[in-house]
Amino acid sequence: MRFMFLVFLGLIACIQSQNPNPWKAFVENPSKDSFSSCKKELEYPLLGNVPVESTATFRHLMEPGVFRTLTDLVATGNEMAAEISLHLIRFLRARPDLGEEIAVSVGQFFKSKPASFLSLLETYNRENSNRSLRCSTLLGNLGADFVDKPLESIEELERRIKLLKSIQDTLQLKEQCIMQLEEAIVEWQRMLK
Amino acid sequence: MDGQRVYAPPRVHVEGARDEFSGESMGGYQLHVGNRRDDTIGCACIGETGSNGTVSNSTDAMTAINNIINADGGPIRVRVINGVPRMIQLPTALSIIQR
Repeated sequence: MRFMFLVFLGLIACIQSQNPNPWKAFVENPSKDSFSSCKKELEYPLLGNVPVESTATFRHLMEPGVFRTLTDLVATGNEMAAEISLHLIRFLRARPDLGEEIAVSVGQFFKSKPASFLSLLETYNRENSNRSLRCSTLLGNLGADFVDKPLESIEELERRIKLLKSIQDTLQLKEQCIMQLEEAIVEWQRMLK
Repeated sequence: MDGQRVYAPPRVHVEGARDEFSGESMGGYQLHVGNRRDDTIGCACIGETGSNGTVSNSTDAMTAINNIINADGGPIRVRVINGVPRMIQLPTALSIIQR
């Protein structure tokens, strides 16, 4: 019985290793088809408590240039890349170093498409209520350029709040985001004293 | 690893870290710069002073850690007190033990 189970696992691993890399296809040509393939792979039910680094998705993302290009796509305003990245943050929970890079790129996405950001986050949180994402995790992480720079950080957070206030819908989430970024400003102001 | 950006000062990879709630192995737990909890999803931000979940002078603190590692030749052993933290204030919460 145990032998059969191991054969089964081996077969699954073999099938996964032979699958083409949907993430590579997506970053090379961000189409609806390649986006659907990525989402499908991400939703593939894991067998037991598999470490994230053993999954096909992780291996695919870590192929040369894939992860970096994906975060670049998000930062430059690709909505499909931003949507799939929200899912990746939770998927990569054991790889917070990668999740943080995604969060910073989603913050850049917000600056070019604020209404789209709120819409994507609202949908994600509604469909994943047990693992929802806090707005300030995405908009409050300004990236390495702002570390140890309270004044610049406060200015950037104020710019983001202004962008949020310009959005006409998703009112409840919008107010939450504004409140969380205002709290972030208070933290920075406390550091200035 | 391909795909990850190069940071200055360099991040420090910590092996053997586990999520304090799920117990899951965290292969990507790193010490890096950052001032507030929003600057991290699960790694640890390093700083010299701080309060209420914030640290300051993070770049200087990270440089100090890198200097210790470079002088020692690494790898070093990092002892973290009070579980796996997200904000580390030097020198009280983190001891870097040189070989």
